[in-house]
Amino acid sequence: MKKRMLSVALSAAMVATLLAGCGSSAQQSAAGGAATAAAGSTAAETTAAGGAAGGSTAAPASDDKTVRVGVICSLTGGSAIYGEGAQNAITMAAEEINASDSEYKVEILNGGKGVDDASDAKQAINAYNSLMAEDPSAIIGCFFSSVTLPIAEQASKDNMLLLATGATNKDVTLKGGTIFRDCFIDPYQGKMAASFAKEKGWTKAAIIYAKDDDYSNGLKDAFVENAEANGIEVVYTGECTTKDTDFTAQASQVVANGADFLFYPCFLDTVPLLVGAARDAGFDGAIMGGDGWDGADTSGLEDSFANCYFTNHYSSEDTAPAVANFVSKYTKAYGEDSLNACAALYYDAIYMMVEAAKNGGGADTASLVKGMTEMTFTGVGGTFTLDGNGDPEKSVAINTYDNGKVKWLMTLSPSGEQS
Amino acid sequence: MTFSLFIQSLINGLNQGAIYALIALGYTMVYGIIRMINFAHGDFIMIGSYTLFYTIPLMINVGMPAWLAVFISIVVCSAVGVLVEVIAYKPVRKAGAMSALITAMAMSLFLENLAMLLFGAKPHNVQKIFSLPSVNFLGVPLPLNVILTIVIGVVMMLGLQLFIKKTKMGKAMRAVPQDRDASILAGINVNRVITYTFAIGSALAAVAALMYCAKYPRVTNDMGSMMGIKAFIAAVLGGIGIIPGAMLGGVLVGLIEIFVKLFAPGWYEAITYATLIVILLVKPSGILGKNVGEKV
Amino acid sequence: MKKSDKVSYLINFLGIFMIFLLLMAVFESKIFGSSTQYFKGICTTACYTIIMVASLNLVVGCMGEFSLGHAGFVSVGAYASAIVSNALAGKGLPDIGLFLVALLAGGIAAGLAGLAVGVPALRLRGDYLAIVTVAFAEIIRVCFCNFAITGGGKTMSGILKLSNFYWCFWIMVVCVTIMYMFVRSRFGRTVKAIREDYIAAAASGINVTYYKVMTFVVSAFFAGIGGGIYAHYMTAMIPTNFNFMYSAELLSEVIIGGIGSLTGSVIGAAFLSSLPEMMRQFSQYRMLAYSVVLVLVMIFKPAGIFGDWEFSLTRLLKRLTGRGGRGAAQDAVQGTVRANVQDEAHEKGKAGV
Repeated sequence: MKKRMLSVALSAAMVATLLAGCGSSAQQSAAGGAATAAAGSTAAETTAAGGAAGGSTAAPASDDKTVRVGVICSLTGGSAIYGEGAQNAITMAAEEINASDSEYKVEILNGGKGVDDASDAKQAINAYNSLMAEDPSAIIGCFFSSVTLPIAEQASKDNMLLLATGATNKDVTLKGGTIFRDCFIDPYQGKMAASFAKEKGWTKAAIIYAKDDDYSNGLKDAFVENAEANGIEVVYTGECTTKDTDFTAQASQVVANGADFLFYPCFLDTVPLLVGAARDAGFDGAIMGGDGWDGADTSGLEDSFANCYFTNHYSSEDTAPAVANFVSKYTKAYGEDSLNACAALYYDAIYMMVEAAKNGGGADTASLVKGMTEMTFTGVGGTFTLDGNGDPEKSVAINTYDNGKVKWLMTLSPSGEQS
Repeated sequence: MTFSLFIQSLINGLNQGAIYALIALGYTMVYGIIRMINFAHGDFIMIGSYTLFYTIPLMINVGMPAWLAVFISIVVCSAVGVLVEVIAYKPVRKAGAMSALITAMAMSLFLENLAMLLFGAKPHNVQKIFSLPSVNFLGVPLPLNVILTIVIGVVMMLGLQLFIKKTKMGKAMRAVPQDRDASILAGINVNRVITYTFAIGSALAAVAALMYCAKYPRVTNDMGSMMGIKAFIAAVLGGIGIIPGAMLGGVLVGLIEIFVKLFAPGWYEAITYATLIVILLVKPSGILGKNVGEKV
Repeated sequence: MKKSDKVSYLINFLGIFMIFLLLMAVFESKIFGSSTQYFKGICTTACYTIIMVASLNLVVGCMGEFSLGHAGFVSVGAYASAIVSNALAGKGLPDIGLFLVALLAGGIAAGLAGLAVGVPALRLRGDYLAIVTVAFAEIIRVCFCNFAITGGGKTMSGILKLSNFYWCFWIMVVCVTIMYMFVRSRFGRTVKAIREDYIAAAASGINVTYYKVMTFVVSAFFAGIGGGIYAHYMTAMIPTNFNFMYSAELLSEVIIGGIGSLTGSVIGAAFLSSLPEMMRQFSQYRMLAYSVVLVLVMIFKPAGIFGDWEFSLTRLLKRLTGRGGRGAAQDAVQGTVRANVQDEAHEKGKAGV
């Protein structure tokens, strides 16, 4: 009998949760469904709900001058550091825009919060759908190609503007005319790394890359493709996984093969381990990576990080006003922990929306797409133009380390010219 | 392969293997006593590592050697281990192996997400723990760290073995899995035995965290999951529940991984797992495990 | 089949049909406005998760063995069906035909993988079997990372978006029905006998290995079908999607629902696959809350929510019409309450809202 009661109670609780979930969403949808006329009041409601968190992200305008943006980022899971940066960056960008005298304002849906995808494709597509329920003009996200591709497919079907922030797989923007991105595509960064290596006169390259990741594979392929043209011989290619911690075997092979340059295009969490392992194995040549390196912890490994380089969208040392403003404000408000390439990309993405609205002359999706197509934008990531596919052609900042601190070395323009 | 590369890899493999072995000891300890796969064990190591990350600077500030932080880590890990046991595992103990397994997985998820909220999502580097020199061994630099890790592993193994075989508590620990009801009749407080088991298992995790951080000086909130599976595989390979088996399995897995990585790094996980499968098929209870016939 | 059974199947089918009509009415009338797509998405997710979880329940519930590597079979099905549908696209097959062929191909590929894994692995039992299934699943994942045809570690994208909710719903119904009939068949009863006491079963002349391996193959087959729906819903996938965590998620859904209860699997899968969505307002505390719910269910309902109890509309109707007998009157009232609650949960669960 007791068991029965329990099961009744539990089932009831479950139904209650289900209903609760249903209820709250139904409300949201009712508000969202009431077309654009009610958009203002919806905005007010969402703001009231997320008041504490959203702060002054509250869009003051209730007219068609407000770009309603949904943001997807990974707030939980193994890559939460990127979501943290993204969340801070979008809050900051929206506050700045709404406090300025910009013609168009920004409203971040979901009460000013990014919607979590947990770097999981299944959850990401639900996150996308949940944002769609709020009737957005555009969606920003996600950071990983594997998570973004399913969304891109759906977005092109829904004719929704999707601005991918970190999805570097070249297929992402090929899914449709409404898909754009503000990061490099994989082939581009790999090519830049190869031409930088040539510049430096390195000829024997070794590559260690994560076999189970788009970004890593893409950069490696591009590097290998461009190596020969730049007079570089790839003497060793070793796979690892994104979760690996031990690189001693690959590092000793790098040394045994006599490489003078090591390319490691992976994300920031394993970078200190690889650099440490390579130096321990006696490798004293240059180690280079992509924008995934930005934000890697160098403490305790200051010496090992000497002679390491990475390509990035910006350099925190850059004196350009957009960059200096971003870096100083961000550091002041949130510290340095989550200041990485991801934060910069999400920050730029919000500004790109406003810019697109200006160009297109409206805050609805169609105008935004019109405004974004082949637009030229200046932000933290420098000045770039979106090409026919919606990919940016950006200059690459090459950074190095000086006693553990990121130091700007040079900026390469898309054609490979130094500046 | 040149001779020096071979020796170098042997050293690397032993080092990684010794760390796996230390982690596997904790698994095998808990499994041996309560027949439960404690999936949260890897996360105990994560907690131990975060404790080290925060306490090592304190230790250095007051002028003590960094490794002494391990004692704080042991206390923290034991407390967390016992807490997890009392709050989550104890209520489901009677419900059977599957419920226990799911609870352990849920706790693992819980600890990972809690760590993310408490310590932030950024991966941190742990300060250098040991500053031991390298000696020259057959023309290859051999870091004394490696020797230390292996020595600690062996000492732990022998200590545990002595504890289990000689002390009263150890004997009780061996009695409980054999026949729980009979051990209650013999006056053994089963709950206390299990709590002690978790305390010891988690303390082992703290020691493993020390050696792990000495070799891979980085902490993240999800560091426990993958490492936990590898170490668990090591424990099964050697014969789960058997303390020397954990040691053997750990070293074996470490060596296999490093040597496969030298030549086919893309396949190293597959080959490690394939080895496990082959060994279990030949010897279903692991290398050192005894085949116990089932009573009809 | 006895006549009463036929009637029972018919009644239950009508019940399912009603649920379908209800859901269709909800979605087509768009009473949720722009959230319709969101709910539909959650329901589709629930559909393929239900197939995967119910198939895992054949191994866990019916056969009484752990499998911690179910995601491996799911991935085989997903990749195989994606490859087949890409190869056959534009060959004049109607969408639904293409979809069914692809799913079948995925199921068969996964079934073969199940055979290849089951023959050696099922010599082991208990925790050892569990760890060997993990090992096989990881090997499968590494293979997909290394084969060019599956994208070679990169995301395989451009898979046709064939999974729409209505098709998935009926495929799910068919799969679950077949699994239900499988469990109730002579074959299923034999497998249960092996679960209870394999030595006694072997002594009664049952070929234990054959039955176990076949159950494993059937389970893998349906997992592959689930994987096929997954692939054609997501349209892009990377081998790391099918890692150990996914297997663990599926196993926890089985156990939360109730070991051996297909009703439990249906509700458990629908409930847990939509739980992260319901927790959205918790923001970064979401996964923390998810794990707490898991632990709480295990503490208060260690055998899962439904134990091994199965829902039957026929039985419910009998109770409602008072044919339960006098002695069971009290029981029937209780049962009705539970069944009503349950019925609602069932519907809502399927709706996933």
